[in-house]
Amino acid sequence: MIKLPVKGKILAILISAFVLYFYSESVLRQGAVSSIDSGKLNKDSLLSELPGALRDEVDYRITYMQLQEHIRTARTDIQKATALSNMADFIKDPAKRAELFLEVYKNYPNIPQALRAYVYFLENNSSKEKVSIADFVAYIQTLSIYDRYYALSLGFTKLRDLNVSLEKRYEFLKHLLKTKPEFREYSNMYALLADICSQLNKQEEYKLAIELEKTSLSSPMLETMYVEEMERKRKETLEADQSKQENK
Amino acid sequence: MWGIAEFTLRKAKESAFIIMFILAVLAGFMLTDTTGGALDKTFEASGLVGQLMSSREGYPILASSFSAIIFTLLLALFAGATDIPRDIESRMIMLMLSKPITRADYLIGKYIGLLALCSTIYITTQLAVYLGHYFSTGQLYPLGLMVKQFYLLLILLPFLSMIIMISCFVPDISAMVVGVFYVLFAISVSVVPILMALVTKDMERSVQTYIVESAFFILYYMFPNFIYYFQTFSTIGLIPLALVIYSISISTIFLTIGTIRLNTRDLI
Repeated sequence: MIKLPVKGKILAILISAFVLYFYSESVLRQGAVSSIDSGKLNKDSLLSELPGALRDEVDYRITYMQLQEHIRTARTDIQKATALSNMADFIKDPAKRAELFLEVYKNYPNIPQALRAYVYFLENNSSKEKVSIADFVAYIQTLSIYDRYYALSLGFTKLRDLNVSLEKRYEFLKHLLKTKPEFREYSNMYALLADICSQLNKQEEYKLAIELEKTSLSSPMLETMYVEEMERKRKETLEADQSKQENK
Repeated sequence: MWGIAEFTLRKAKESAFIIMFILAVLAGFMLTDTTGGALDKTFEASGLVGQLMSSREGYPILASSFSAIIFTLLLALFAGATDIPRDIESRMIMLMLSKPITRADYLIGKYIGLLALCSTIYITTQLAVYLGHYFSTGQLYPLGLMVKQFYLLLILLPFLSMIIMISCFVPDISAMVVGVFYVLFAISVSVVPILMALVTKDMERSVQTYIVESAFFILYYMFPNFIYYFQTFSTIGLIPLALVIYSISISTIFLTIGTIRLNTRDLI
């Protein structure tokens, strides 16, 4: 039998003790993890117990998993388009984002929930797909009057971010010259249009835009109209219910 | 070594120990009436600790056992932190080391003696709890549940070795203070690795995450994880076996460090 010096003995004991320590600790940890029902855990309180540097990444991961779950459980086109767009907006990988928006754009092009995909591909030269201004404006026309203004604002912000030419901005807004403003909020759009027209030296269009801006300023607010419509719908439902009961 | 252990055990004849012993028996009877339920009910089910204590198949830790082990750990803290420093201070250690034993034998003898002493207290309290339950309800706890409570004795292994190791470095009062802070820090980091394993499973990690995780684990491995002793598990199986190995390996590490310190320090 080999006789070790004291230091050798101590070293041998320490090494074997550490090996056993690490191994048994990993077994216990795995046992503890497998026994936990993660569905019952409160994620927020658990995250608060993690080191700060890890928290953001883990938080990202948890949200990612939740969004993936939404995609998996989505049944209707509206749910699917919403879930895919939410994931696309959230995800950090640009290639994956483009892929998700493309899926929405290809599969659900005619529903309001595809708006974010349209905005993403609007004049986007870096992606495989590109939505032209004409296509975007055509899509906007399919939306409800309340969604239309929001879509127009998003689209214009995107064009401004891309720093497109004034001509293109004019092309994007020019259809407003042919429509009667529905809300007061449109006054901003007409003001922008008037500014663009003056820079492009389009006198007639400029005058019309100013006129429509004034008209829009005398129109009701979007929110007011929306509340009124909701109230009207509620009354109609009530009346329908009452008439049903009377018939019975 | 066994002589030292026997010598340490003679403390059981001291009046202070006899008082502690009587208190433990009384506490055992009282704990039965007040906290006879399982410990997992005192923790929130949505929390990690609550999940660890309630989710697995097997027997849980009783609230009375928890109180008994806390009582025993306090005794271990006092006894473990004071024994060696007092031997050094009173020169008793020189007398003992004049016998044909090494300093390592002395340390292990002390460890075994204190372990036996504290175990006696815990076992007595536990038996009093079982008897108290029997007298108040007319029936005994299930055998598996009663056996499971004795697994808590394993916590004494790392705890005592840790406090004895600290007492090889610093005087008695300081050893107690350092020991308390060491345990508190160990408790504060105990759930984090379980949590990390739970939420970072299959997660793509950035370099920064790797660095933070590695740094944390280096720190974490310096402390025993006491939470493993309180989880619910079957009486026989891989988990209890791992727990035994875990307790012995940590104790060996602590005692080896204590021995190195004792071998190199001046005892006069």
